[in-house]
Amino acid sequence: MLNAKQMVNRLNQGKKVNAKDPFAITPLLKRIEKSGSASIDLRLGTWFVTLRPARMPCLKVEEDEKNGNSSPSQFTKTSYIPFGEKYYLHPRGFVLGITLEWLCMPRDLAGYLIGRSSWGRRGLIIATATGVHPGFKGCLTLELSNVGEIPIELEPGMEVCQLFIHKIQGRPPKEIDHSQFFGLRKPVPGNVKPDEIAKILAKASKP
Amino acid sequence: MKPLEYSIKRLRAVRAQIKELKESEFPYKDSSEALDILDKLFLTKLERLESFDKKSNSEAINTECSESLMAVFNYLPILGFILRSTNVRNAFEIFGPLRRLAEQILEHGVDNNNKITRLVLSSEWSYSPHIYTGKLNLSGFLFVGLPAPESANPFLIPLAGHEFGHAVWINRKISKGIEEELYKNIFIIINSKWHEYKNVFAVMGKKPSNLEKDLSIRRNVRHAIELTFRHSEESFCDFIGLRIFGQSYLYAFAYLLSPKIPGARSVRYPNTNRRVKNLILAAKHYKIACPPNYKSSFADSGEPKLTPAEKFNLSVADKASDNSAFVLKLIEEANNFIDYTRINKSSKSKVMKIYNRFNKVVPADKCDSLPDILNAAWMAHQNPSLWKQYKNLEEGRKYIVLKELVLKSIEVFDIEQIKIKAENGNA
Repeated sequence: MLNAKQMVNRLNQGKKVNAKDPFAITPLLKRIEKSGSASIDLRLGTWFVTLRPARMPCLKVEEDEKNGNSSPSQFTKTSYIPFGEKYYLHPRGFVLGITLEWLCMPRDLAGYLIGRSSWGRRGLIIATATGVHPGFKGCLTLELSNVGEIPIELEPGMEVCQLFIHKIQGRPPKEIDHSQFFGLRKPVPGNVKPDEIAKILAKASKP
Repeated sequence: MKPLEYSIKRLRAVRAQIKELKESEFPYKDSSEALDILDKLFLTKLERLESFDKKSNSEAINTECSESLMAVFNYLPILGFILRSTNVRNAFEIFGPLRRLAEQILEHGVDNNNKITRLVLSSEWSYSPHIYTGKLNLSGFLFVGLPAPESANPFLIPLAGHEFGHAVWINRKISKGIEEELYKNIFIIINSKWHEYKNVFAVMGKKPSNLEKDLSIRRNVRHAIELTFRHSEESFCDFIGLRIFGQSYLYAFAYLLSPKIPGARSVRYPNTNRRVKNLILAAKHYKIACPPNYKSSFADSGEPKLTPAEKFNLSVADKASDNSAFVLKLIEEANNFIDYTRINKSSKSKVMKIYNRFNKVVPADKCDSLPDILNAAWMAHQNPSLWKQYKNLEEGRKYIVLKELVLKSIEVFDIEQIKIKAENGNA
């Protein structure tokens, strides 16, 4: 895991004009060196996506397939909350948020995104799919949920999560998977990929 | 028939609709402020209608009813426009930087507390970007709309420069300064086309010694005069857009209009080839590099079906507004005005710095201006080998990612500007 000084070094190297595969976080509104920790705090962005429970009976992988992995906007609603405005996340509420920062991960670094303890202790869960792969570029979707009993006031621009950076052991991968989440500034639910093995198992188990 | 009763019902329906619109999620208060103003306007009209009684003069009632109907006609499209400004199809990140740019253009030197510029950034269900300005009760408001399917496309933002140009034209009364010259041009042309004029308008007798003072001639060519001013305004707006946004304006213009507008040409605009010719001339004047083969990307639209009189008037307007000395004057006028607002031309080195970041899929930071970002964006868009290293990134996705990257850069620019303002104690 990189410490604060190493992260700053890598970020500074990435600023050089000739840096080919830089590590960058934009915007970086606070000095990292001062944090003295091994993580970078990331902020909440302005776009939110909620599910529309009234639009479908339940979420099914087969439905995604049937629709040719068509637009998830069929069952989602997008909102924009400008700086200075609030988003109230009620108990048991769930909303997709996004980091304000756009990450540019080089091929030799990966990361883990986790919540901040002070928020966690108030019931705010930030993310469950926390891995940031080498080569990833874009903003990170946050799965925000309130598991506490009191509504939580979210405000774009606030520090909600932290990113730990790891160095990849051995040779970095040559090809980067530019997944559906690559290069986006808004949260996306993404499409669930069909699992062929699970399908075979389900079919074979039927008499 | 009960026009008074109907008018009251119509106004009440409009007010009920405004009340409902106010419940929308407004990302910025400018849109809801516009609604408040319109609500007050309709309330005043409604109160006036409701004050009539059986003893009131029927002519006064009818006049008031007609005016209220006219207000409904005029403001209904604006209400729709305001509603669409809340749609999440829009890229709200653009709002802050564009509003600051509008303020700088329209209220340069005005104290922060006295600034009245408001921006409603929305989308249009007609293809051409549009602006509403100068509406009686919406002073200070700019309504800029991009075509709905492209309302989040940052590559089209430079076209807002043209729309700002209309506000400059009105606010600075540019037409007053060019009026004399335009009239002179118009009547020189009519003089040279006297034979044609006589045939078209079936004029008998000798040519008057002073065409400009002849009332019947002025009546016949009033449409030519109006169109000459319109064409001049459109050219001026092109020059304002070009001077603010530099090369990115030329690209955005081509994106929107090339090769030509389908169907017949709109008589309110100079035909496409003339606009392009003048843009190229202005670019040379402003020392802005013109994209390669720019002129050949365009063609004129077909001529509209006009009566001989309309055709004559259009040909006069086309010639009068295309006088080369006059066009140069407009180019210079736009340049001087933008110089006065202290909007600098895009700097090559700054654009290059942003472009280098785009090349690495990193949003720009510490930018000086929105035009710098957009010029770098178009530079990246024009580079066929952009992101060649990402072999499994399809071309279609590349365009989407580039748009996202540009919008993020604009948001970062906005955040930095807000921060600077806060640090200077003006938040």
